Amino acid sequence: MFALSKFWRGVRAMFRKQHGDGELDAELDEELRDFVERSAVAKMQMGLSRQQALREARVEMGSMESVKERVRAVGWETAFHSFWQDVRFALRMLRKSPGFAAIVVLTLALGIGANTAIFSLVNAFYLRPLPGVSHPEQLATLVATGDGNGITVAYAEYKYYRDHNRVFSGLAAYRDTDLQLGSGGDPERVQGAVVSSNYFTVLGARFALGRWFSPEEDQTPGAFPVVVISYKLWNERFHADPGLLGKSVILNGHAFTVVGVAAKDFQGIEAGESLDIWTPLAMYGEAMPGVLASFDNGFRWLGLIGRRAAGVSMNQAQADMRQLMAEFDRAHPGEHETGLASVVPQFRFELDSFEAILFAAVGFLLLIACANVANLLLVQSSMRKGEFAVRQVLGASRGRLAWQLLVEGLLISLFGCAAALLTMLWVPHLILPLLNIGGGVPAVDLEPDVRVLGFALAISVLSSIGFTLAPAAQAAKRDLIPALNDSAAGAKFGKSKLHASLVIVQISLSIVLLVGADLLLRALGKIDAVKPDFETKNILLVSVQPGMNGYNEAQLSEFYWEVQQRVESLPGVRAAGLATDILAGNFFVEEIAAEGHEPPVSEPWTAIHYDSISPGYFHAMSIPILRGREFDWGDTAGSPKALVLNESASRDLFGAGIPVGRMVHLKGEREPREVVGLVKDVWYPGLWENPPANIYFPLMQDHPWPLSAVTIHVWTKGDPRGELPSVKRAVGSVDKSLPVYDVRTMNDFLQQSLWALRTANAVVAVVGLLALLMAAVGVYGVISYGVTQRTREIGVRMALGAQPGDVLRMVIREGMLLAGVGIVTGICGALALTRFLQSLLFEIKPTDPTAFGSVVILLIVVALAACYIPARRAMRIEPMEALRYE
Amino acid sequence: MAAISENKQAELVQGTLDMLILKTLAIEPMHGYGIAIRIEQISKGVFQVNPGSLFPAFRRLERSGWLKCEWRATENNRRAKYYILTEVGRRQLKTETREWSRQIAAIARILEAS
Repeated sequence: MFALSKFWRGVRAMFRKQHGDGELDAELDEELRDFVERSAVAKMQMGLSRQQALREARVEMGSMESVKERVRAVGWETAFHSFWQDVRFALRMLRKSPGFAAIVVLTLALGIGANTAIFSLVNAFYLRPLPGVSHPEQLATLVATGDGNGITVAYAEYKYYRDHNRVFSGLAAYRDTDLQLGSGGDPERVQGAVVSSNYFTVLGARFALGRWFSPEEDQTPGAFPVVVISYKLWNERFHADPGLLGKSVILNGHAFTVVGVAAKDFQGIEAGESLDIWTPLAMYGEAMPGVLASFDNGFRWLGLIGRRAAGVSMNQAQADMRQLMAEFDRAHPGEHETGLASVVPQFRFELDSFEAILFAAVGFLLLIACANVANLLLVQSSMRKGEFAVRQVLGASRGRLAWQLLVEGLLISLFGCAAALLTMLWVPHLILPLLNIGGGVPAVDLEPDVRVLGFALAISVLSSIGFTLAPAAQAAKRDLIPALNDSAAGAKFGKSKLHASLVIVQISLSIVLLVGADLLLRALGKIDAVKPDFETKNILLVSVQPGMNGYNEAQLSEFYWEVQQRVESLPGVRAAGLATDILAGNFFVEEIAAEGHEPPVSEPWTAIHYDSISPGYFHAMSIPILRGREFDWGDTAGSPKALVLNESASRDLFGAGIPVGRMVHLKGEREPREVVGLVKDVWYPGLWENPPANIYFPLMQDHPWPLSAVTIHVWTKGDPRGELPSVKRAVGSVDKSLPVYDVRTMNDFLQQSLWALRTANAVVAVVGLLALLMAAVGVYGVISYGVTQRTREIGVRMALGAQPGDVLRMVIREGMLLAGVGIVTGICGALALTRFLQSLLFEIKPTDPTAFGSVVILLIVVALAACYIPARRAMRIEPMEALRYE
Repeated sequence: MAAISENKQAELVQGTLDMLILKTLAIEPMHGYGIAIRIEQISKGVFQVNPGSLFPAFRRLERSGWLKCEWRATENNRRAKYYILTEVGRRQLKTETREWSRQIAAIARILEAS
């Protein structure tokens, strides 16, 4: 009760203050004057003259304003009131110098904005609760202890864990897979998953229509072809037809019945993924043909996701799972070794090196921005010395002055924060396309939410504290008297340790950033200078996977031949070739040996990448055939086994000898293969290193894996993308139920291989240039301020005979001294930090002297320019005027 | 603030100023200067109250509802703000006095022991 009535009194008083402040103040004034008057009268009675008495009474009272201030300070609402006054005062100060305000707000907006942008990425991928899933924090998954990679288990294992664990309220299994949807016209490649029947209940996912799977639908392989589709697919492909339930759709050439449509927000169990179709585990044979022979197969193909039961911690879940896994291993000796597993949250954030580089870059930017603003504030507050002194004389305490500066800083920071958040409305749309690493733009929500807002506010408040500390400390420390009889003496640039160290920090941080940017730029330049040695400009790549629709080997051969003929005969096409891989980067054979040349036991053969290609592939890719022949349509299953090597593979297998006509043994093959041809190496920048050894198999002779997708490499006459519709039609004319997917040009492919380097370079370069700009402003501000402060001294020097040149040299020397120290510390910092970029630097060393040299020169030039302008002003000082200057 | 009086003065014990003001006003309503002088006189100059603490204390006591104030005309035809002890204030003074005596007695016992 008491507290409440006190509160109301406060609110009433606050209200009064807004309206009747003057009246209350006037009463207090009158009361205090009455006090002085009475005190004086008493003193007069003791024999003092009226004047003396009044004087003494006033001295006893001290500053009337100060007393009033203390009376006003009684009660909590006054604190609020005075805070509001500080804010209004701070606003007035900012309005008075709009240029200064604009520079500091912009500087901070850059720093805060860059950090918030990167944070909003982390937020979108790791912190934002996954939509469509209830209580995502209870979900857990299994990873290998150590490397943190997800663990997959066999079906029998999953059943054992599901039925025996004591820690999960539900444990579901899933396996993501691509699916080919549709038959007859407009087939589509979609992302989907085979899932255990409890998948949706474990996740707590809701449904827009229909139901989830029943346990019996998940028992007998192939017995219940049912699917749940995503809301997106339902809308886009089926026009939100409510009658779709119970109807069938064609998946991989098989009819499936639609039993449910997932709720709009459910897209899968990982941020960024967007699944469209779910079908029971038991449909593995149709959904992922060729992967699994039976449920009893020991193949470990299932990912696990569990919901922790109430009150079960991650550690308890982990202990239980480890015990179960050990039990399973004992019951099935020799089948597999799981190794140690950890139970971790399904949604967790792990900083990888690329993200770390981004964070470091933007973090540095914010530090530089703060240093810059601190410096500008310091300069400004030195110019406000007089104001502070007057306020202090009028009764403001030093703490109060420091507090005022803090409020001003906070205000600036919040303006910066607001500006940064404004840009957040469109920055995410700029960032998202950057994340397209081939798999399309990730489906994440980058809109700012409470967490992003909180982050931006937190770093704004922290930076405001950071950059006002120096000026506030200075204001609190300053002696009153010298400030009041202010003369131009006292301040000396270079002599102010605070200014100097802030400038040095700025310069060194920008050196680190610029050296990093320069190294990355050099690496990119080096990479761009070396061109891939094959046709890259006019190549269109499209993939097709007939094996998924159940083609057997004979059908595949016919399909390949047919497709290649039809694509090659298109008027806009120069040549075409099929290959199971793009530039032989994904598949490799483990053991290969030249006949009569047994590999030494001590030296295991390195894996060699292979690619299965159709006749005409080398021509379409402009890869020269150096010796022998390429494959032809006669290299079929019935003909002698053939092989083509590239130069590196030939060197590995035969040394300097001529390979054509020699025989090669491959692991798992009884018959040796004859080398029929030798082709040039293929190298492209994304490989970083030397061209890899490649071997080529004839696509028509043996299908390495019936399920393999093939990529059609189309060398076009004009713009490769322009040829896409006709290529699609050509494939459709062979089989209209086969979708083509992963459409891109060879240039896209090559760019994607350099994605991390380019993005890191862009970010670090932009940040580095901003840092340079800020450092220049910092140097300029400090030197310029110093010159203003020393106008009289310079005038005296010139009156005593110093030449303008001497003055110029003096100012520049002091400025460059600062720059020099900053450069040296910056180089040390850069030497320590650039090695973290090593993996992105191609052939450039992290300590590349040209990179360091050019950045140092750049900084010297910028620092010179920043000193030169104030130095010229100093040079033009008229001695007579300067001596009068006060 | 420079002290004018040569007398040896003591800082008021924290929190006792409020009690002294209440006590002074228990005798009769009084204006600010009167209160200051009365405290100084009764304490024989040991406590000299400066306006910087006195007026905030008035405001504090007023907000607590222990004092109220009214403007009264003075002898030289001006007006002065008089502080008046309220009923709540009177009760508060009683409790504070009791508490104070209890503490003083306790402290005295401690000092006399040995």
